[in-house]
Amino acid sequence: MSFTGSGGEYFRIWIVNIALTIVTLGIYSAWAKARRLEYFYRNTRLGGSGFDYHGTPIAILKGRIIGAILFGAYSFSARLGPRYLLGSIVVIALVMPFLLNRALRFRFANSSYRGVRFGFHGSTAEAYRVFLLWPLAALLTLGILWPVAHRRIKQYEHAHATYGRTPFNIGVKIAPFYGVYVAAWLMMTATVLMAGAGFAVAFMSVIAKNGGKMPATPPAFNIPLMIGIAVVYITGIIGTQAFVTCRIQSLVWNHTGLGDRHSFTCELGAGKFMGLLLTNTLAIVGTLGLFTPFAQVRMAQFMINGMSMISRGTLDDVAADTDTTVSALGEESVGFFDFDISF
Amino acid sequence: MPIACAYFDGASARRHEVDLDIVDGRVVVGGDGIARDEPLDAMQFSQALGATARIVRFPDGATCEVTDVAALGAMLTAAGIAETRVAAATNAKRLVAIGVAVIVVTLALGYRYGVPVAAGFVAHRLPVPVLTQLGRQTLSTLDSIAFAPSDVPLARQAQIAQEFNALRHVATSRVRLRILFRKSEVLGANAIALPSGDIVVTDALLPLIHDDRELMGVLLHESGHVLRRHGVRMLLESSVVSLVLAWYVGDVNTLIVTAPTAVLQAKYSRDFERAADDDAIAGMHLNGIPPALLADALERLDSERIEKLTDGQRVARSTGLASKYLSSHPATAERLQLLRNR
Repeated sequence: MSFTGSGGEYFRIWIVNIALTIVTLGIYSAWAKARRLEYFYRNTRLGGSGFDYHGTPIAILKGRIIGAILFGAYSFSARLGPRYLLGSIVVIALVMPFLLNRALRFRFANSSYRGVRFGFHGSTAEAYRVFLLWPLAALLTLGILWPVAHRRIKQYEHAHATYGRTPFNIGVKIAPFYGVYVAAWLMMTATVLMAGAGFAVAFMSVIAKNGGKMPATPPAFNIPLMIGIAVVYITGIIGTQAFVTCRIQSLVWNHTGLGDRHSFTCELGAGKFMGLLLTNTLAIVGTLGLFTPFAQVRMAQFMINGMSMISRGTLDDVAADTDTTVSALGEESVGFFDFDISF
Repeated sequence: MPIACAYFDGASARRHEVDLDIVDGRVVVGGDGIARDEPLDAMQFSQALGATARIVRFPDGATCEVTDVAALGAMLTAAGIAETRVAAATNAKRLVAIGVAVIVVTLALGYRYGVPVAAGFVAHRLPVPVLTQLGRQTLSTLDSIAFAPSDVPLARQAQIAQEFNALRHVATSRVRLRILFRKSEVLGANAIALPSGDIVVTDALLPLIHDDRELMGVLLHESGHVLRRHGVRMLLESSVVSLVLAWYVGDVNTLIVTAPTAVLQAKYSRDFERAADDDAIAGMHLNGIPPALLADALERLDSERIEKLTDGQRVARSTGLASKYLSSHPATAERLQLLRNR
């Protein structure tokens, strides 16, 4: 697969979107979202054809209004005190699996390739199991069960997806999930130990200079050393994040198939991804946000160029499913709560 | 001149290589076993998105994917179908430049004036019971994590409350002011104002006060926060800033949203401190107290705080950057100068 969009081209689309959203006090944001997704979908190309996005701005707008009301109620009640905050977290946790299920349906039903739509047929009951019960179990076991929960979530997303009438399938084992998370845990531990050792050295040198006592006046810390510690720490965190993202994404797609004749491979370099995250962050901060569209394009290029589809035979015989209409309520509501549901 | 493109019938994923043309107000598609002929106004053409492939939709769900968008654009123009205004704006360099200007100016003006004015408008219309609820909740949280009962003798507490109640205020509000005393390791020598009108004075503050009129100055500063509803305004402003920033930067990295949010919010906090200082100055004049007395108290508080700073805070202080852009309060020197000159 390849991504053919360019940063300069998307910048112009983005800037017009932002300007119109500001001028219309946010109402245009639904149209902006449709244009953004159309751009990213149509530039995602596989075997000479592009994907397409069909979500209509009005559906997106309706979902957004309800999402905004939910989010406003949540933020306000969260400020009223711990009891209200707890109450609203419980309410959100109870509603979220339902919304995520609807979000997946909306996103898939409005995506197509070669004129045939995707679909999602996961049940609401299973959504409660994978988005509520398993993460809860992971929380109660202090994260030990999180790889199990993550695998269940990915299985739910992939096993119930369809392309036309052809179902996707996924056969990934639990051991590799634990492998990724144990390695990530080791990376985080090493990062914390290195930063801690740096701090210890800094304190020791200050105390040694002051004749073995903690100085009363502000001590002059070794600034380069402090910056060094910060760099190690931030690199460690972003590196771990990049590692988990790339490995899980590859793991899941390398075990996903479409029907019984098509499968996928996904190769994403965690080191390259980390460089991408770091440079994107620095560039966005340095340009006061104007680099954002370039960052999003670079991200899409990285993710999509790493994927390929292996086919025995053609896709020609994939038949379209009967059309179903789905509301954008779920997708827009979960968008406010910062859940990522990209496939 | 027909355009070569891909045709999909919408029923299967089979790709047909076809030629598309517009002839006498009809769209004609043919080749690879396909022969279609539809009136132009029954067709839908997706908006132009730069060099991105465009989709031509038939009424029955069949589509053509056209990658030669320049040729399609020319063909549509010749057939009398103009580009949408949004698509045209995206292509015009001058309009894009105007877009950049609109964004920069609106974000700057919104940050400087829009958000504070809107937050003030909403905050002053919130019913008193909501403010009371907000303040009481904060107080009970602080009582359980940061506060212990005060050791200040009740007679002294009553004396301070009486002196405070006798003061006249610059602003009016339906919120009832009340002075409370608490002991706190975490906050040290401090006074904080809650939206409910409760002003909490910590035990450690009293030994630093040499003259009760200084304390009245401090309390007038805090009552300024209450009467102008700075607490709720800060809540509203910080929510708006984080929401707008999250929307503008998009979901690239959470780090990008949190760090600038803190810097942007700190400015609002400093503005509130300046406003409360102005109120304190006006209030002290109104009650016949020289504002310089508040300056004396602030100076003592500040030197006390420097002694208690953590090492990290000292590093930040010595670089000088932190106090200017990250701090929740304006620099003490600036505040002292203001108080002593009035």
